[in-house]
Amino acid sequence: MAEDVDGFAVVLGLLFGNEVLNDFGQVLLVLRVDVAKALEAFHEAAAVDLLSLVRLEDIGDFEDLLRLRIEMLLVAYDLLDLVYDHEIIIMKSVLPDIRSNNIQVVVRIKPEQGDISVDECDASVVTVADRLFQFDRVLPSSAS
Amino acid sequence: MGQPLIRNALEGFNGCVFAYGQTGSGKTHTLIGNNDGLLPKSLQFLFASADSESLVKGSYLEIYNEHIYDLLQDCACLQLREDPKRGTYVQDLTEVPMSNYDDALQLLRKGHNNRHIAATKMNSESSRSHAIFLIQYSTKRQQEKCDLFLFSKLNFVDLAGSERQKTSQTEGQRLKEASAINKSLTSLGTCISAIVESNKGKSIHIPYRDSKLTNLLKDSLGGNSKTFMIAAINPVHIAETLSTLKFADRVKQIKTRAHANKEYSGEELSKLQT
Repeated sequence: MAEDVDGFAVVLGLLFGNEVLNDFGQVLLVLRVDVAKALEAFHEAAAVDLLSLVRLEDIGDFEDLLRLRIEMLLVAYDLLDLVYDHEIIIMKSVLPDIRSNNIQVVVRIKPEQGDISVDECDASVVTVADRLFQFDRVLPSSAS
Repeated sequence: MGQPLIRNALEGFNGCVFAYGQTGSGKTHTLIGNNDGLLPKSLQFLFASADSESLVKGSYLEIYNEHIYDLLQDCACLQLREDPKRGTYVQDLTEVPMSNYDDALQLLRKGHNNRHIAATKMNSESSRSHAIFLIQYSTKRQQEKCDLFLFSKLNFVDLAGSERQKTSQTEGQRLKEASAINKSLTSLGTCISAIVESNKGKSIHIPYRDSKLTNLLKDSLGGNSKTFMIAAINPVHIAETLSTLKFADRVKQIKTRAHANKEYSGEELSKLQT
């Protein structure tokens, strides 16, 4: 268990979060983690019990597992008491091969004014009405 | 997106691009544009990359009010057929050999001009049908002492936009069209959800036969195809944008089973067969 927590502490360090408000003014915590960096961190932390469960050809399993274990850690550290709700975004920036068998989704935004923003650092993330979505590629209106 | 699609096709992989989004979000513009859209650019890249042994054929059809029409020839509506080898196909659909980019562009223009388009409150040039431009590619290569034959099909699908009667304020024929469009898009959504569940290992019926659109796109959605989806969104309409992105979020979970379509013939093959 101690090994596990150390591993998650590393992963938690890789998370970057931001707070957004829902329609009722309640604070939502949005956490994002890069799945490839998380895998690397688990290797470094020797969290072999988790890695043994991971089949790299099916990253969906790992994402679900990662999401679950991060939630467990947030509960363990009482972090969820601070917010009304939370959302965990698993990013897959450096594992493109794993999605090569999936339908690739490209979002194209019409050059009109509206409540949509594209992450400047990551051209695969789009935010609409405080909701984050990740796709294979997002083409902002400026690039359309 | 166009270049990987064409590179795959040259190696015998089927491909599909479908543009989805609400009416007026820029699907047709993205795919066709003023001859600068994804499809013309892909055709340009295809003819620049194809070898001299290649044969390229083009077809163009639309699904209007749940009937299939050939956009390259005046005729009665066409029928869908199924074949163990060819999969689902449209019987008697015109297939025009294209030898260069200009041929292809001419074909594209001819078919595009025959599409059902009408003005609605939401879009002055609203596509009232789903249109599919089909490219069939085949080539022969020498590999060791064999002839290697490669075949691929590429579908470029410009879906009609989803619309709400309240906002588009359609009536009469336009309302009938909108109803057929929304019905087939609902079938598409149902199939997508079923495929996602099926990918997760659940035993579930995928209702491809519920609409002509899903029946035709069967391979592209869950079978032998490398598929791309363009989710076109218009920031002005947040509810419709969220709906499109949620749909796209489901689509991205789908795994396809693409493999190169190839056949061998020649001396080496004869040896293997004996």
